[in-house]
Amino acid sequence: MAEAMAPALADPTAEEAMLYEHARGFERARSGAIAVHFHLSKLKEHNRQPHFVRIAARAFDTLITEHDAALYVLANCDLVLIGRDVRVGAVDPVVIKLRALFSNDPLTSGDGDDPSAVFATWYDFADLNDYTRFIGLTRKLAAKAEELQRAGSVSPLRPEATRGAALTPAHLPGITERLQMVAVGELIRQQTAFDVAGSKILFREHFVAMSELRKRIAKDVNLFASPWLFQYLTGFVDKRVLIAMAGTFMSGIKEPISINLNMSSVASREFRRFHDCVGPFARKVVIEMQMIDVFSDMNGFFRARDWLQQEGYRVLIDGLSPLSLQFFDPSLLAADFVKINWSADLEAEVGSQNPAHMRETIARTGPDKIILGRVELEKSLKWGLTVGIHQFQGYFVDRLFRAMAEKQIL
Amino acid sequence: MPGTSSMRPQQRSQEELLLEYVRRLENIRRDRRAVLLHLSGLLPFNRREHHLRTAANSFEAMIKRLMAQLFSLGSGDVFVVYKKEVQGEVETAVQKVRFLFGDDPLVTGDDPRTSRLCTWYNVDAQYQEVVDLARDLVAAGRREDERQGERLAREQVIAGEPLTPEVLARVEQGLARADLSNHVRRQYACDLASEEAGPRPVFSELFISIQDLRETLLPGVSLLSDRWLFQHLTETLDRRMLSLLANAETLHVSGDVSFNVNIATLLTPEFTAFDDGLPAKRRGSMILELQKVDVFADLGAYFFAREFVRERGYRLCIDGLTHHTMPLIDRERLGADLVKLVWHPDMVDGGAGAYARIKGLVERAGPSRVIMCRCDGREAVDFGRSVGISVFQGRHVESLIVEDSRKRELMRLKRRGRRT
Repeated sequence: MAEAMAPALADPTAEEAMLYEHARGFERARSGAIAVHFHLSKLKEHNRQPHFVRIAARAFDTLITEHDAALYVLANCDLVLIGRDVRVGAVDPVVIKLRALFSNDPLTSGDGDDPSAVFATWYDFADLNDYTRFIGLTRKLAAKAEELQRAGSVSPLRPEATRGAALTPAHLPGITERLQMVAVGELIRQQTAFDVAGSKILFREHFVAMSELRKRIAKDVNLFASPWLFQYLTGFVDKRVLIAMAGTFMSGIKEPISINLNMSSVASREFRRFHDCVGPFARKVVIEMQMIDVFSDMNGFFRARDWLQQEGYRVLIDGLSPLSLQFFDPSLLAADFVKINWSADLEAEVGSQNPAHMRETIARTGPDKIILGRVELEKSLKWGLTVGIHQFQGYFVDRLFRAMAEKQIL
Repeated sequence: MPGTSSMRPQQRSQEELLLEYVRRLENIRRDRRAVLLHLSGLLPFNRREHHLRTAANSFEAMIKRLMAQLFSLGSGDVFVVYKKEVQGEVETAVQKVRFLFGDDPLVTGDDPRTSRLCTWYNVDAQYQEVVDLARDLVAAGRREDERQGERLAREQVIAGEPLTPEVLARVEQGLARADLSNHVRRQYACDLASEEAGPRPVFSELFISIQDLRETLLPGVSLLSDRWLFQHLTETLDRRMLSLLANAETLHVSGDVSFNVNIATLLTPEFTAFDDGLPAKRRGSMILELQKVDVFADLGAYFFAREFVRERGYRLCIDGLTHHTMPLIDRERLGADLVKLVWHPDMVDGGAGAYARIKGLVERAGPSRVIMCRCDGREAVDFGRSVGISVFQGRHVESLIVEDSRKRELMRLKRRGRRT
């Protein structure tokens, strides 16, 4: 839901330079002055969005108006509070507020043992050591900010896919028109979902490489800026995929496949044609639907699911996270598969929560129905195994799969 | 968002009937009086069909006894011609109407002698004046009919045209400038725990009537035809609602209120500015209604926004749950204060199994945390009560409020009658 926003300041180096000057001003009268450095740059990417940081900075409003203090919002998202005669007791409630805002981030749940996971660093200027360290830090920050600006980088923290103008309704007609001209078939990639317990392929997911598609139809637009408009757009992609895939069944298929569809696409003319081509192979086709789509029209989902299952298709709910699993019970959707996406952002969450709950959810839904997706590292797979998951998908699984094939284990 | 319905009065010939009636009175006008109730001057959310109907009902007894004749004009105004003998009764009826709309600026602080709510006529003495008035009303009614006719014709040409991105872009642009204060509707959520005490308003939901909006901005385009484009439109509506709410006096809003808002909106500078402008006390009286799809589309954003707005004092309600989706939502774990369960006759038709299941769901969510909404009839309330719910919202609740205020007014008048 990232709303692309202009940087807080026209000149991103100004804030750092001002902070440096401000800190130097205390050189002659250090006593009673302090600084607190909040390391928001260490938050997970998801929590480091400009609008989150802007709201976090507001937590200091009262503190600043009531004290001789100032807050600096740095280009890297860090916040620095600096001032004189600021009581620790007055800062503490702000720290608590900030921690609450980011309570889902591993940074705030760190127990202090890990020095890289420190949420805030305090500097007491009365202590010359502290003061010198702080001056050194601000100098470094200012230099880095200037360097970044010279390099013309927008923000080092923003992934490529979310750069560009935020997607608006006005972009859509052009994008959907260009989409009609793209040979979507060329952009379809495959990834295997693998059953570790049975050493067998579950299905091969066929999906459109969105980053490549974006280069062709919306180079300068951030398609993810609005989840709703993105979802609208995927409806058009679906139709192109259905047309491209319809030919696959001419010669029959050996291994099951899966494709991603919007609920509304199931009712489309393109799907009817696809369905005709699938013929007797429906059992070998898994239809993946996004959780956001399902949640937007639950009754529509129930109807689509019933129809698809009756025709022999299997239905998969995609887009769940270990976090979302704590808040709803996927077994109630009565799908054939549920795909939970591993995410590094949620790593700490998963670690801190009661794994018994996760195990219970998995047992209730049925381990044969659960697939852990986006498995990119061995530890994700290991985590899955500990909570009772035995079906996986992701780059790590691809590598594992290839290695096994080479050794002819498969 | 409560269901919205068209409330355009259809009594096209009432003005003509009135003129004809007044003409016939020419020779029998002695002892005839008349009163014009300017209900068209009420705030839009008070100008609801059932409110107007209730106002008209106050005169029913006299009409049945042929002591009075009532004309419901297209504008919403009501014109009553009556015989002198029932002057007292008519005054009581007007008093009732006055009470019905007690919190409307048209009525509050209104001096009955210089009233803006009504104009009194002595038909005998002011006959020509009354005839002219009726004639003017006919002319005005015809103009309105023509406009409606054109509108209908236009609607038929492009009926059901789906919402496209081009149209959406245009609507959003138009909305940025439009004054929506006339499209704001209000619906109460009431505690109906005790039959004797009558409905007790817990809060009122303010919403922009999508139907109205459609008719004003885009006759014929079905704004709901694409749920994703519509969801995007709601983000624009959010911003307009915030600017309306920032000037609460323009809406004459009092008591606890709720409104729909997207999580993305809560994280915009517009919301921050809105929040800054509110007195701290007011935040505590505001309930933010979120859609479940919005919550689950990005749980991380939801948790961040939740911490932010709850710390500021707002309460959160998850809107639009059905008995199918409610099992999926753990209110307490999500940290929402309230949930809204949409009434559906299926709930009753499902038999004992469904009943036990829904009762269990309400228990788990906390009966005091569940509001049953879109209650169209008594059946909804009866069912809701049986599963432990006490707060309800919907058309049926609105009519209970109207009925209750009538009952109270009657009792008040009776007490006064006894005293004098």
